[in-house]
Amino acid sequence: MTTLGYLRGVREWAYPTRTTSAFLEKGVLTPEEFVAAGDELVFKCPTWSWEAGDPGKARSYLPIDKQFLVTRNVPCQNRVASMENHLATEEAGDGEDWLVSHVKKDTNLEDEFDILDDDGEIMQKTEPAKENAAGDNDDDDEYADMDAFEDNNVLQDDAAAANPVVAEQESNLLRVRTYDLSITYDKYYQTPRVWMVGKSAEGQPLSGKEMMEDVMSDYANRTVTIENHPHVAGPHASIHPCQHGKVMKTIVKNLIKATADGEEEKGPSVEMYIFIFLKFVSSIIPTINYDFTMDVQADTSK
Amino acid sequence: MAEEEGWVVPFVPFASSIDSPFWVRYCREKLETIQLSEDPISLRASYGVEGPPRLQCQENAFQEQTSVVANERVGVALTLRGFNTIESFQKCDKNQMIHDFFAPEFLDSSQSALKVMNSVLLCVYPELKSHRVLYWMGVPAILTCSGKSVRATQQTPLTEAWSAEEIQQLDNNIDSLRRSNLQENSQGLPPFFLVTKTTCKSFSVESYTQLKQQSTSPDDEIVFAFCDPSGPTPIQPQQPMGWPLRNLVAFLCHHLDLGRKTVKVLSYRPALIRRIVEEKESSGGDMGDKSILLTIRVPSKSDFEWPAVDAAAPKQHKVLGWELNARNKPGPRWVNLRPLLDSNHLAIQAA
Repeated sequence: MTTLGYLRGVREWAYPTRTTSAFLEKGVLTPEEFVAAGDELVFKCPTWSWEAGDPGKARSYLPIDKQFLVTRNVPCQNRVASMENHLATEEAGDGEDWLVSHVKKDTNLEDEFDILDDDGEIMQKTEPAKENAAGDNDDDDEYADMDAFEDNNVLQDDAAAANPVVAEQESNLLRVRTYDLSITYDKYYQTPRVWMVGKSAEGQPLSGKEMMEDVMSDYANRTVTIENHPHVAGPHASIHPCQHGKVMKTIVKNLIKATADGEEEKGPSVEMYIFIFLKFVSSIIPTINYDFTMDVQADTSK
Repeated sequence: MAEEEGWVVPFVPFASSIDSPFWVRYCREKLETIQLSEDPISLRASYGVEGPPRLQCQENAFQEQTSVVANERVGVALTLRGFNTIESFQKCDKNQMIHDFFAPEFLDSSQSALKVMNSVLLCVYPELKSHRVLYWMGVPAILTCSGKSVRATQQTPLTEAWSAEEIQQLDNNIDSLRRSNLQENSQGLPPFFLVTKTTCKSFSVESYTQLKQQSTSPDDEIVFAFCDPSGPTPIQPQQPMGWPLRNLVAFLCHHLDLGRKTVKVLSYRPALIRRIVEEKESSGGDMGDKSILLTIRVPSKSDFEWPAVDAAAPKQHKVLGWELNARNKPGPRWVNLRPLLDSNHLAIQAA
């Protein structure tokens, strides 16, 4: 979206496509391996599917109908803050669980950091107030408008309307934030990259700030940033892939170690990549309950 | 009193579920190509069988070549009517609009009926300056006269009515129908289909007459099946049925001449199909199939004809299907795209 984003795009375009497999050594994938791993994910978890996106934005090194993976309407019941508080009170210091990163207790520090970081200091200060005011106005408008637009002459079938209790249950299901998650292949970092765009319980698109509430505070606005999706219109929150290769390599090494106790020393297959990857991603966005159900047979200890 | 047998089948309406990239794309198209044209635009939407019933519009609706419907979803033809002013959006007679959209084509021939049965209407007023969109979705269904609602006399879970082998056979048959559908016309799951205990056919007048001729034993009894968007919900007495059943019943009456007859309908509510077929083979277990066999009395043609206000005028059909708004009243919904489109907002986010 920004100049920087554009430059990164150029860099990705100019970077040669990986052709030799280096999954076990470097934790990276070739486009072919990405497709194979994606096929396995779609096969095992039918909530995920391949998508082609805008043909104009299609990447030549991926099949035209398999540009990226998508799962939609993933529920996200709680904000990360409530979970982090919970963990903080519950003594998070066992240090063994790689799924949960360091838990921040002091939020004031964070606030100060933001103000220093922002070049328009005044804007930063007035902005939240302005946004709130605007938001309130919106709500008022919405309700005022709704009244005016309702049309009670519209035909209804009251006799055959479903039991309101059922309708209530049904809508309760939707009373949470939902996310659409997608996975693209990043040619420069040679790893998958996760993108997400959220909707509030009322079905309104979430702002970047709101989406950051569902990212572990360690990563929000640092590893996870708001950028334009390469295939889909509009800004998405994205986990920057610069560390993905390293992390995957470590996990894969542990997996090999774990299986090496037995006779074979092969390590996980390339098809497993996205499952392991998604498990690792859930440490960054722990409250978004996407489907990666599968036995990854290895413990995650170091 | 045979008329009053059984219970009135309750129907669960669809809820609209429109991806924000869809709106971002629409606003761009509105500025760049659609501009002031108010002509209807043909796009695609879809619904799944995982429940709750949601009609989903994705950004790829705007791409002609990639009309492929994702895994295990039913594709739906979406007609988008854009309005240039809020007044024209409001003044437009919604009842008349959905009637004209649906009734003539539905009554004309079985082919055009099959097409329009699986379609949805979306009225849109984009407020481009304030990055808001007003929209109202209608999933048309033809309405029976008051007191003539569709009645059911019996409801049985499929797992009780059919044996495990028969259900396995059904799942396999539906899976292969899905696959051939996907290959031939990239259509995904069929919204309606015909099943017997041994076969599964696409839904058309021809395959019905064909099956009818072949059927000799009770095993060949034809069941009218539809993918129920309600998903595998717990079974309760007088189970609410998915919205597509409304038009299925009307079709049986108008195009298969089954008015006043009693038919069997299958509300197909599987867990995800591919998983069933593949995992059942390995585990042989119950995959939580919540499909329901329903015995329904099809209304007659005259049950769909409402008397006109003027007694001399011809009788008319009524079509319903407009979605309720967030307050549960008939009315449009707003979507606020400021977080996605407003350049000020984006600049602050990017900093």
